Amino acid sequence: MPRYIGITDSKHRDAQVLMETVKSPPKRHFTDEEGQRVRSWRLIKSTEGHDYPSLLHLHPDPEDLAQALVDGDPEIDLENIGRKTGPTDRVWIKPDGKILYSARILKAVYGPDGEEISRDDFVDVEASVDEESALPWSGRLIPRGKVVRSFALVRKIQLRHINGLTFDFLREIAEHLSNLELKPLPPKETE
Amino acid sequence: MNEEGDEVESLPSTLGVEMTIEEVAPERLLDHVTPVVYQLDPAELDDALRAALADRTIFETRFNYRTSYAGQACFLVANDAGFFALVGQPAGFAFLEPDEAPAAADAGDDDPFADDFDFGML
Repeated sequence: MPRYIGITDSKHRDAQVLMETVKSPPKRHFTDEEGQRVRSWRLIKSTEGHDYPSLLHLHPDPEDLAQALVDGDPEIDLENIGRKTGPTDRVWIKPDGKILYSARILKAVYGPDGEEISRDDFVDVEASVDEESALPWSGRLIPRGKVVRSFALVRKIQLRHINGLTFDFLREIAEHLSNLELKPLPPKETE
Repeated sequence: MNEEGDEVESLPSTLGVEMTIEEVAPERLLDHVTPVVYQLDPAELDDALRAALADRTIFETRFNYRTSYAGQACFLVANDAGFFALVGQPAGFAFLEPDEAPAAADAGDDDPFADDFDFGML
């Protein structure tokens, strides 16, 4: 769903507009032999205490585990396997298959050679965007040709107007930026 | 099937396949979201292509990691750090009309901004 964001233009006027992500609708779909559209479901494959690591924890001897499988089918949770899942949350589990209720999440940085460079706690960075305060116009402009060679644009949001005034506000910003881009790029040495 | 109900041909993987590249403007890349970035270590590189990339030219080709029904756009760029392939899909932005009814703002459970933007990181 869209969310409000406050922005400022080059004339230092601020306005509140909407920001939203844009998802392209799928242009292709799978069908069955009758031409009916195929739908995907997420089903329960196994449950806590019934997967291989959990059973191996209960029966460390492979011979004992094999016999337990033959005797009682402990790997199958007949009540739940094959059911459709509803909304789910991701949880972390311990080696014995039990849910981990308290975990310390670390940030591990690896180099191109795969060697770990550092391991630290995540540092929470306070959000700099909220609905009340408008983002200032920094005046720092980067030519498009430099942007595409300096950054990987892995996520984009679209700003939308909420009324006629904010439509004009956004259109003027777009026009301002577009006119700046009409100027040729400086020589590479001066970038 | 595509939107018209016609069967769609699968596109083979482009790995190990010689592909044709085409020069494009920066705006073409800006119209895409490129979450996948490969740093390229050229085994061989034509002098003309090396010079064009060094001169800030951007090239586009198709990229399929494996055989699939939808190819992805792949952009070749170069900077002081090396050569890169940016792989992604069109951003899907539409032109806005002044009389278009905007969607209501509501941060629900599927709030895509739940992790909060921090423009200070730019």
